[in-house]
Formats: sequence, C-alpha cells, structure tokens
Amino acid sequence: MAEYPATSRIASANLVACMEETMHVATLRYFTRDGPFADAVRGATGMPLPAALEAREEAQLILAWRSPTETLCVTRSATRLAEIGASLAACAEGCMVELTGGLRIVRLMGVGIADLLCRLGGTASVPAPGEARRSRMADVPVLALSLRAGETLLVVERVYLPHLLGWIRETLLDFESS
Amino acid sequence: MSHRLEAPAGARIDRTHPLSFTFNGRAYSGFNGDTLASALLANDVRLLGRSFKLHRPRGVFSCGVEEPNAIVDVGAQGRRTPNVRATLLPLVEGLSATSVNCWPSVGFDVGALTGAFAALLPAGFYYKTFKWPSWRVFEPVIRRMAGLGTAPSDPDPDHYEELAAEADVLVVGGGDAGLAAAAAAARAGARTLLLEGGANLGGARAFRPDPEGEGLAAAAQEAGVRVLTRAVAFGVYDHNLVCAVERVDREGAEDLPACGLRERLWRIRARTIIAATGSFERPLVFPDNDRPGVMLAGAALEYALAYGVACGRRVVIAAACDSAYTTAAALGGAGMDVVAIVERRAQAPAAAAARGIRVMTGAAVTGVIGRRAVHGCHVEAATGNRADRPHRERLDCDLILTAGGFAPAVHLHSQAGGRLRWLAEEAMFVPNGAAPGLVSVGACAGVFDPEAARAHATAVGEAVARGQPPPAAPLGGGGSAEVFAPLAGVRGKQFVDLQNDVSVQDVELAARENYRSVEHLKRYTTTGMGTDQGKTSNINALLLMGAYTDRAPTQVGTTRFRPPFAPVTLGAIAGRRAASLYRPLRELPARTWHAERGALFETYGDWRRPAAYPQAGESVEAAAHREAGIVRERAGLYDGSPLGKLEIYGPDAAQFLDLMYVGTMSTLAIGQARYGVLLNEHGTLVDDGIVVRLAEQHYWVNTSTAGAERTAAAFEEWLQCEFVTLRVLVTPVTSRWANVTVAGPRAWRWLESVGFDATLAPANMKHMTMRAAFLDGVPLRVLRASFSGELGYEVNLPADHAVPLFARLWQRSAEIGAVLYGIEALQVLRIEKGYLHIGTDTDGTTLPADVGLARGIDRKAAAFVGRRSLSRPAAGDPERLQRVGLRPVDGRTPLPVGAQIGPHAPPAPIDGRVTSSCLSPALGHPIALALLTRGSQRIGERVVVYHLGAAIPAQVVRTPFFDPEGRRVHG
Repeated sequence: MAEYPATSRIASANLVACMEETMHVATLRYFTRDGPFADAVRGATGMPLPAALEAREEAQLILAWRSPTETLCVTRSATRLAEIGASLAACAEGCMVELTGGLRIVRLMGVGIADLLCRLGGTASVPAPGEARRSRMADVPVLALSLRAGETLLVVERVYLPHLLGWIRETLLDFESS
Repeated sequence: MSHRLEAPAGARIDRTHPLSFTFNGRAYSGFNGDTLASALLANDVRLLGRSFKLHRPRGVFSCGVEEPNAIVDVGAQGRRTPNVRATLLPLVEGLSATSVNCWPSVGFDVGALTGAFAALLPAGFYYKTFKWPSWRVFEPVIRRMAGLGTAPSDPDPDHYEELAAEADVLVVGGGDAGLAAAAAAARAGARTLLLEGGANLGGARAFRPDPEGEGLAAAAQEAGVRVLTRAVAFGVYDHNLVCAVERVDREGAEDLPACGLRERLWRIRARTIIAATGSFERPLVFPDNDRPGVMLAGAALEYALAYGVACGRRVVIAAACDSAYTTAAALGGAGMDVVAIVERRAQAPAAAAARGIRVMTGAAVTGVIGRRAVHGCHVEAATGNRADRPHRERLDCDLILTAGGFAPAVHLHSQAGGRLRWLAEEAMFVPNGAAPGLVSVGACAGVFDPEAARAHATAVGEAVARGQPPPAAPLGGGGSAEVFAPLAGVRGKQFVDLQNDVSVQDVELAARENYRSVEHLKRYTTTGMGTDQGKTSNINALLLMGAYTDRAPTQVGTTRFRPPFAPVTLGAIAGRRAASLYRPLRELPARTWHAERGALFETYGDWRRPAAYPQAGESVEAAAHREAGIVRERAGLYDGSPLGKLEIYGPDAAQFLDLMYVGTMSTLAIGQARYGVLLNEHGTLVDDGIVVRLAEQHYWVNTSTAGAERTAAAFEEWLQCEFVTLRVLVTPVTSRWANVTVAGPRAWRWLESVGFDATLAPANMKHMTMRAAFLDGVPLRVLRASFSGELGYEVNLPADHAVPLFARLWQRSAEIGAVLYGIEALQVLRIEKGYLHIGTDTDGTTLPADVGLARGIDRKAAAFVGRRSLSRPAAGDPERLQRVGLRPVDGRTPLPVGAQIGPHAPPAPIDGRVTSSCLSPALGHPIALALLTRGSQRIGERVVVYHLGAAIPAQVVRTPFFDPEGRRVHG
C-alpha cells in the first residue's frame, strides 16, 4: 500500500499533472557507454544506451539519459524489468539498481508544459521531444523527459514528491486566476 | 497650488474613468492612468512625507523611479507594502496609502524636533557620539527611529512566482530608443524581449512630443517583439542574466482576489542585452532645495503633458543647462506662468530670448520661502561671498523647478562590468563603449537627440541580432551644462541627497576629515543609499567631493552601481518559498500511518519525523522516557527510513571502501557488516555508518541520516578527482528502501509472530550480519544491528511496502507489549549506551582518538582518507577535547546540552561542554555525554557544569552507562 499526497491529479485549463502509480524504475550504472554493458543493454532492451540528454521509448520501455554513467529504465511491467535485470546481472561492467518506489513519476500533459517548467526550474529544464534533462525544479532534483510533444514525465525522489506537487498545484492555481 | 489642467493635456489619463482613493485617511479622486503622485498633485496635496533623518516636510520631486521623497506605504495588514514610490504607483479604485516616517501625522510630526538639533547631527555623528555611558543605552531608541515605512503586520496572503526565460536580444527600457532597437533586432530574426518598468511605452515622448516616434511601439509589435510592461530590470548578473520584477496585480486595489499572484520574478538569460534606460535629470543644489514645491523640471513637464497636472501656477526655473529653456516653453504652452529662469551660467543659450521668458543670467536661487509649500524664492548674483552680492530679489512663485543637466542611467552598464567616462561639455558620465554582453542606446548611452538616438538604436539592434559589433554611440544632443560649486555665505541647508538628508556641509565635512574615495564618502555620509540609491544625488555628491578635494570628476569616479536598481520586495525574492513550500522537506513513506498513531512530527535535518508518540497530557520528554523504557523492557517499533543508503558496485569497491573508511571493509565476508567512521582529509570525523558486503564486488552502505548526501558526494568527489583509476559506481538508494526497525528483548518474538523466517532468529543470524529474505513475496534486506543496545533488526524493504509491514507488526504489538518509539527515545537509548552521534557529540575538530576510536586506526595498516592528518602534532596534543560520560553528583539535576564545564563560572576559559543529555529510564537518574579536555584521564574526577547561572557538580564517568558488556544486543 503506497502513500501519496491527497492530490495525485492536478489540472488547469491547459495542463494536467497526474501521478504515474504503476511505473517500475531502475537505474543502469556503467563505466563506459560503449563497452560490453552497452551491448548487454541492447540485447536486453532492444535499444542502445541513450546519448547525452536523450530519451527514447520502444515497446513500452523508456530509456532516459541521467548522467554520463547512468541511464534510467522505466516500464509498467515489473516482469520486464526483472528480466532486464537478470540478463544484465552477468555483465561485470555495470549493474542495474532497482529504484521502484524510490522514484516517483508525474506525467504532465497539455500545451502549458513549458510555461510550468519555466516556473519550476529554468529554461534548461524544458525537454524537447526525445530529450531528458536533469535540473533543479522547485528546489529539488528532477529529471524531465519528453517522448512526444505535449507530454513530459517528471522523475523525482519520492521523499520530495509532496513538495513538487505542492509547487505545481500553486503554480497551476495562479495559471487559473491570471 | 497644483491642479488638474484642462484636456487635451494628460495623454496617459482617461478622464472618463474616475477613481477614488485615500491618502492618510482622506478621500480623493483621480483618473485611470494616473499615478498616486499625479493624482495627489492634481488634488493639491503637496506634502507627502517626512525626510529620513531630520523629518523635514517633503513633496513629490520627480516623476519616476528616481523619486527620493514621495515614499508611501500601500495597503494594510498582510498586503501592506512599505516604501512604494508614489511616482510609479498606478492609481486603482480603492487604493489606500499613507505617509512614512512621521507621527502622529505628516502635517504635525513630533520627529521634526530633530530638525532643531540638525547642527548636532552632521554626517557620521553616530560614529562620534553615543559612547557614554554605553551605546546600548541609545541603541533601542535609534533603532526605533531608523528605517522608512512599516513592515506588514500579518502573513502575506498573495503569491509570488519565478519565471525563467531566454532571449536572443533583451531590451531594457520601452522608450523610443528601446523600441527602435527591439524592432530592428526582431526584424533581423532575433527572439527579442523588451522590458518596460512603467505602464506605458514611449518614455520621454510623453513629455517631449515627437511625431517621428509615434509608430515605434506598433512597429516593435509587428516585428514580433515580446513586450512586458511594469517589469523593472533590477540587476545584471554573470553570463548575461537579467533579473526583473513584474508587477502582476493592481497594487493597493480594494477588489484584489483573496489569494492572488502579486509579483513575478523574471530570470532572463539573453545573448545580448540592450540597455535603453534613459537618463535622470540632475538637480541643482541651493538652500532649502528640499521644500515641497521644489522639483525636477522634466518631472513637472511630464506631469503637465502626460497626466494633465500643473504642479504650480507660478514657476521659477533654477537652471544650469540648455534643456531648461525648452521645458519652460512647454510649460508656458500648457498654461503655466513661468516667472523667470534663474540661469547659473553667465550666458543663456542664444535661442532663449526668443521665448519671451525672463532670464536672470549669472544668478542663483539663494533661499526658498515657505516650509510646507513654496511661496517664493530669493535670487542673487551667483558670485563670490555674501558681501559681493548686495542685491537680492524676491520672486513670488509656488513651484521651483531645477534643471542642472542630465545623468545617463548607466546602472545596468556598470553592473555588467562596463566602464564610464566623463563628458565635460555636458557634465555627465557616459558609458565608455559597450560592456561585456551589454550595449547602451539612447539617453543612457549619452545620445539625447531623438533622431540620432533612434537611428543608433536601430543600428545596434540590427548589429547584435546578426552577431556583429555594435556601432559607436553618437554622443550629444542634450545641450550644454555646467557644474558649479555651492554658493558661499547662504543660509539654509543645501541638500545633496534628499532621501538621506545629506547636505553640502556633510560632504564638506567628509572631505575635511580626509575621506577621499567616493565609496568612503558614500558610507560616511550615507549619500546614495536608501530606496532611491542616490539616482538624483550621486553625481552632485561626487562633483562636490571633487570640488572640495581639488579633483576632476574622473579622478573622483563613481560608486559601484550594484543591484538592485530599484527596490525589490522580499516576496518577489522568496517566490513560492513560503509556508509549506518554504523549503523542501522529506516525508516518510509511512508518514500518514505514523500520524494516525499519534506521532508528534518534528523536523530533523530535512526530514519530518516522529519525535515521539505522546499520550494524552504527556510531554515529549515524558513520552520519550516511557518509550525508551519499554524498548529496554520489551520491544519497540521505529521508522528508520531516513537512514542514508548507498549501493557501491564495481571490481574496486572493496579497495575504495578501505580508502574511505577507517575500518577495513575488504575483509568482510559476504553478508557480514562492520561499523565504520568516515574522516575528511583533515582527519576530522564527518560521518559513520555500517558497511555490508552483499556480493564480491557489491556493498551496501548505511550512512547517518544527515550524512547521506554528504557521503555520496564525498565518494563521488574522491572517485572523480583522486581515485580516478578505481572502477566503482556509487548509487544512492535511500528513497528506494524503507527501514522498519524492531528493537528490544522481544524483537525476534515479535518478528516471528508476523511470519519472519526462522533463519533470521538470533540463534541463526549473528549480530552485524545482513540477510536477504522475502515476506509474502516482498524482498527484504534484514540487518541485525542496533543503535539502542538491544537486540535489533533493521528490516529494509521497498518503500511502497513499508506501511503494510508497520501495520502487520502493530497488529501484534499488544501481545508483545511493544510501543512505537520516536527519535527522542532513540536518543535516550543511544546515550545510555554511549553511542556516538556525529555532529552532536563531535565538532569540526574531533579526531577518532578523541572519541575512543584509536584502536581501529592502530589495527589498520593501509591508507585511508585523513590518515596522514592524524599524525600531525595537534592530533597528539594532551589537552584535546575527549568524549566522556557525566552524571550529576546529586543524582537529580539534569545536565543541559551546551552547558559549559570549567573551573570557574563563565565568562572564563572552559574545559569542555555537554553534548548529549537525558534522564535515563534504565538508570533512573540524569546522564550526559561531554567533550572534556584530557577527558580520558579524568575519569572519576568531579567537575562543575555551568548553565544559565547555575553551577551543577558532576562526576566524570566511563561510557557506556548501561550494559557495558554489550550483552543485550545478542538477545
């Protein structure tokens, strides 16, 4: 039984923010982007490790750049994630660390995403489709990734989720009133 | 008297839209488009406030951001905004404003008595007086008198937000030059943003009509320029970052929403900044030049033409520049009677005679008649001493305008790192070329001819949009101006800085006392400080300084122009960081579950955690005492989720952890755990924790709660900067894993009762080991460790499953006789055991040996971070503070944390201090931990603990206080 803030869906005229409660998340850690671990990732996911600031999705599996030695792996299927973990376990050049429950995902949809993100963080916080950008939003670290126009996922540590949602809620209230 | 002019005067006001407002409790009316200042002047309200130091009556002096006098408080309770410039405050229906710095009223101000002692209050008087009998006697009175305005009495109900933006070209200033530059840049393909501080575009065109500029705003809009009005750019920072505040609501209006957005702080990153911030008129200095009814000439013209307000009927203009003549003609055209131009220069401009206005050349205003309003002035020949000036003429007037030339608003240029140069002919400082990333256009660049300014701005806009160097500014067009020293032998104060009551005499005193730097002059006299930051005084002050020290203006220089250019509210700076969003606090996965069971939450570091679970009428201390006692006796359940957790992976993980920790981690068997302390390169203790080997090249590290980020950052820094060949990956997983801690003699019985596997029983699982297990399919990492000294299990499990496990255990709590316990009880338990809490029982000098950890170092042969520093002579100093236990001699008196230990009552040199303290439920008396000089050699000694005047005898004892053999952790 998970605990979420009272509001897990916030909406304004041109933007909806909602909690993604069924996402499973792991981080892939490695020493180099082009070694055996990258090959293992390609074998396990069908995708190469993303380039810097890149996010991609295939077959309902998201790979998003998080740092030069880290890629975030997001899927709705716990089984799929476990399979990927099992196939990577043999490779000593990197590891997969499951973070499900430790990271929370907020899905933003609508035309007001950039307006919101420029208020939560900076202009560099706004990912174009196919991009993942890690920055400080609402004074906490957030990875924003976009896979298609009009939609962005915010990945945040669960302990900061109430703070981030509070900031989003206040901002959208001001959108409504102004 | 001031009054409203007939239409068509008043281009900015809408006479069909009247508004009512109050000032100092009296009702007035104005028009939409008015500022508070223009509306008050239209109602013949000329006394608006009192000066800062001498409480002299003051009225409107300018028409813009430079206003030093017309400062008011707006709104009430939480919506009160102090120190708003009436000259910029748009009039709204129901606006309520009050004067500042006066009591009981602006008309009768008790503080004005200070004026009687003005001669005793020169610049820097507070550095020389109030020394006897003590500064403390005077301080409260002076503090009460200091400052302008009144802070809001209640929490601010409104919202403030931050917004980031990018632009290729950012234009600051919506006058004609700014509009021309913006339009040109946008036409050349640049993303262009324009900020205008006021509500209207067009700048000086409002009072200097110029048909050529009429279409500029439309052209800018057509070209795609994004325009923000009421947005004041207050600072230029590194890498072309400009910060601006946009006023969003209608300040002071009576119908504001209950909780609305008031201001927006813009953080704009621009490839190039174009400053088009105009100029300020430089006043002349003459006796009593601060009286209500003395104001800048350009301001009077703006009030007449833009707001339809005549600031007086009979006008005298004190001038030393050419612009005064065009102003005089325009005022005459608006129906005001210009009595005379008192021209300080020996000759008037050639065109002056044609205007039909009396010009008194080589003359100066030497006195102002009237105290709360101008009734006339005295004019004398501007030569030599009083004896050389036998003739004095009185001119009847109700408005004295002052025109001493212009001072380009070079603030943003200077903030961007640009240099200035002095133009002697125009008597002004102008930008000496472009600043890094910033180009000035228009009057702020020293270009005063409207046509030349538009052409230059257009060329600059095009150039910067295309990445080309901007053309040089065609300086001039403002006419000539001269600088004059104040007249000698005149009566009355001649003010340089109106807001801070800095007079000519104050500047002279500073020079006499050998202040030479203009920065020192500023700080000694306070000129250039305050809400107006000396926009009408800086140049006059430095010119005077030069005159008194025989230096040219370039030799004196200007003060550094620092942000903010204009006052910024604390609300705008705070943005959303108020109330629950004040700072990011971390919440436990099971926060609600704890709250439902009576947890009293407090903030520890960044975490909101249960301090205790008090029963009805129970204090936190009593609850902690009860909870700790039950843990010792039976069992307790504790949420340890905030404990820092890192996964360390890689072929060199063992070697790396050996380097980072004092303990040796490479010898751990898989599943085995070891306590370790972390030092910085100075050998100082910075964190501790438990390291567990999960697999050959895979470790689990528990850090302290407060040290989680710090330790992860330290690991990364050492890996990236020093141990660069080690192949190690550090992954923080604190949020992923909750920690459900069960402690006490019945801990295993409790776990067993809810289905934990028998392989985890104390008989099968040793203290300081970790096992992977499952409970109903949920993966667990169970660590047998204890910070309470009791049999303890730290059950780490995915955070989403924390609540079910807490609930499942709690269902069986009654049969175990167990409690929930919070941080305060945990502190009691660990103090009884003498366990170290880094940061509480240590400070920035504590070395491992000081807290009894020397043995681990002696055992370890290999290098580790901080080891070399432990061989410094200071590390072996016998006088070092060392950790000891204390107990009060009387067995009753608590030993407060922070209390000093020493041979004499404070203030005196001390021997140490109490670091942790509690009433021990296990022992039945108070105990404490302390850092004490030569502590390890003083066991058994009696010391005195001093706290708030009390002297408490105490005995130095060994730790642990309880279960010294450590048997209880084994169950």
